[in-house]
Amino acid sequence: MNRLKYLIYITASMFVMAIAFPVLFPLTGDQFFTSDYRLPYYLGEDYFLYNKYSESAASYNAIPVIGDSVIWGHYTSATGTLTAHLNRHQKTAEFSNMGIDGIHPAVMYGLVENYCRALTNKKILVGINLLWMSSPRHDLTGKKNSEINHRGLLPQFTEVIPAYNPGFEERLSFFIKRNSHFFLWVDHLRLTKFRSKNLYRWCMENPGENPFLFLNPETRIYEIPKPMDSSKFPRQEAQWVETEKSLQWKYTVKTLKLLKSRGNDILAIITPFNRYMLTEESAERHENIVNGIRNNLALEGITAIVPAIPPKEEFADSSHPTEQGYRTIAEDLLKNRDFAAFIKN
Amino acid sequence: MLFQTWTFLFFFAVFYILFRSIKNSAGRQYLILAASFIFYGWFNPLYPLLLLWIIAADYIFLMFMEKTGKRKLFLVLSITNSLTLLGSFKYAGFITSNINELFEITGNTYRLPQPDILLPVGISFFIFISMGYVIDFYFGKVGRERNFGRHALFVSFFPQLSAGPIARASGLFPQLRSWDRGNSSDLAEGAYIFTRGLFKKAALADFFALYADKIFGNPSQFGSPDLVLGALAFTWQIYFDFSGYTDMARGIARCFGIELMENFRLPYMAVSTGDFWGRWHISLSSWFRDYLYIPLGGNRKGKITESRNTMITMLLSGLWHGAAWNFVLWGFIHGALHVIGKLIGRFRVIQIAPVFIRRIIVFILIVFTWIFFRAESGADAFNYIGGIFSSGYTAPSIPVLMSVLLILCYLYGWLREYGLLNFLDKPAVKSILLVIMLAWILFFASSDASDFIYFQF
Repeated sequence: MNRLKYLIYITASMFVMAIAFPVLFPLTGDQFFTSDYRLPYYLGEDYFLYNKYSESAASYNAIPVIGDSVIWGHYTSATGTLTAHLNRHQKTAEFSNMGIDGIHPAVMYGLVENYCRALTNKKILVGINLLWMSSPRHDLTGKKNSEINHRGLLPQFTEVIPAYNPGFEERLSFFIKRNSHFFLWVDHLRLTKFRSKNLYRWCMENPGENPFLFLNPETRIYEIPKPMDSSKFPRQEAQWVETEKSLQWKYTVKTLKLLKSRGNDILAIITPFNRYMLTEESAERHENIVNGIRNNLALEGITAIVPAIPPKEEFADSSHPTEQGYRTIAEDLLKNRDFAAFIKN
Repeated sequence: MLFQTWTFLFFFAVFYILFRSIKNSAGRQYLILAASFIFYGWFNPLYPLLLLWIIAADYIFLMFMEKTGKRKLFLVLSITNSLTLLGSFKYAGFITSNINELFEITGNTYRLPQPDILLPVGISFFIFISMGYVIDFYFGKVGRERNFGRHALFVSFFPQLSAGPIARASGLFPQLRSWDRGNSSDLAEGAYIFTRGLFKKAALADFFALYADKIFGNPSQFGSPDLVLGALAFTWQIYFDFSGYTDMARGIARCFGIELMENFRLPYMAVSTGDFWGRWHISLSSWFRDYLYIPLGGNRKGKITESRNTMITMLLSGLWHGAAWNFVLWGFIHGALHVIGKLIGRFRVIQIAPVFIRRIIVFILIVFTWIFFRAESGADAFNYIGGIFSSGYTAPSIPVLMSVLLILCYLYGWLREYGLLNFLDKPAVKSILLVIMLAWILFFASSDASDFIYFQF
């Protein structure tokens, strides 16, 4: 009996910690999920929070807009993003900015697969930024790349990503963490409730400080990067990856199909690329890729909108608009019949 | 494969489930034997060949010892085989560089080529396990294990393979022979011991390491307080690192229903250096005592022979830890302290000294000996100690939390030693402690898995 009691004690303790705590104390502060909310930059890897945010978006019937930093709004504040402008300029629907900075479409697939389940049967806008296809390095079809963002969301055991080649331990740890609500919650607390992710390194860097200060996080404000000077945009020859060989394309299609299989009503937006930074030949190639993608998506039953390209000075770099650029894109979208039909139905 | 990795936990889960599902005792034995070879091969696919060589060779030598009656001959062959392997992999570089230095001193221009041999993880441990068994058989303390699989498992049992404890045939064979599937209590206790080990390693040793590495990395940059605290931090780092590993090994073995020997018993509460070696790395110190010190004559042939035997044992113990002169010096200092301790122990003033004073003095001496262990060379160690007494006072750069932990660790030792914390061993308290330790590891410890110090030996 004593033996059994011991096992019960241990099991009960583990159960409380691993299952009950994340449910009872999510500590996400979801009261801040307002219409112009976007995941703070420093919480880009807080997938627990992202999951809660998607649950919240689903609960008040907003139209989530998923995508990378172009949707998130790298060169603007939360009130200057595409979703913020869309919310300001019409009253038919409310849009949630569910973009995350730096996510390759293969990562986006992992994000949607794991943390957007609450959005089943909802309308979803998907931003497609062709920057990823502009070189094999960005597309992850090139050589091994150690600077991949959100690598934990890449496929670990099922598919091959040429630029991603970690050891078994890293793959397994990512696989376990992303499938465990508890570990996501632990990471969430480490990111949001402490001064840094690592107490010990913080102690070494601040030897004289009271260790309890570690539990008192500083307010971190996103410093908006300075846009490039549009009068000095260099003309570049992008090394476009062929669509059929591109991982961006492969995973974009996979993501869209996954969403469709979950009953989502999807509209894709191919976000404008800064063609003022492309050579004529490269810009032409870009246009062909856009047309090809549009046609291919149409064959899959998915409408893709290509907004008009904003003026030169409304770009901050090769793919990100400035706040004014977002406004122009939003206005263009609102004039689009497919877009209007999508948000109305 | 480090114990504190996901890979290991996955490996453990797979083999534990299979182990519990096999009804046949022999089947379970071969399963864990296979697991042990996979575990070892994970470090390097060629390592299992070395392990297999030791297992097969000693199995054959033992068989010939029994069948031919030429026990001494095959004992010598077995020990020669083991020491040749150990010497080739562990000491070849050390011997060569010393010979080359000798050539340089004597003006000889000839140089031996420096061997580039990778030291296999745990080689000193499994060779000592196997050697101990052969010597025990020679002296008739244990019988020969005829089942090759069980013999192989005794030497290669994966929890103890990379850094001990150094199992004894008399302790492990009986458990392997009557091996059942373990029970729920074994699993719960094993999980607790493992978590305690993980906590010692990830939450304590790795934290102390940050400061110890900083100070030992450039001691001339720091004042006396930092040098003293750096030595103290290393003192606790090495204890938590190694005893943490041992706990993890014992916890894993316990989940499989095997009880490995205890390796640490509050070593920093020792009242003499002899007592220290009865509490620190017990499986190694008792190995040297039983297979070297006692066969040399132990304390049976007068004070001078006893002192000589102590010095030989401690020097070789130092050399076992690493192929470098600072380890030999470390062993020498321990030997000298032990001999001096015995000599002055006869004086009345020492005998009447309160135990707590002796504990504190021994602790301080041990802290100083760790400086020789941690430093890159003997000269560095002397410079470090010189710095403690000559570099003057500057405000220490130790984090507040670490200072508190240094005090708490020592205080815990005292309270444990005097039985004031025995309530912590109650199952309900252990369950709470387990959650607290796991929570601390998850929230506050670094997520990077670092190597164990004793893996290099």
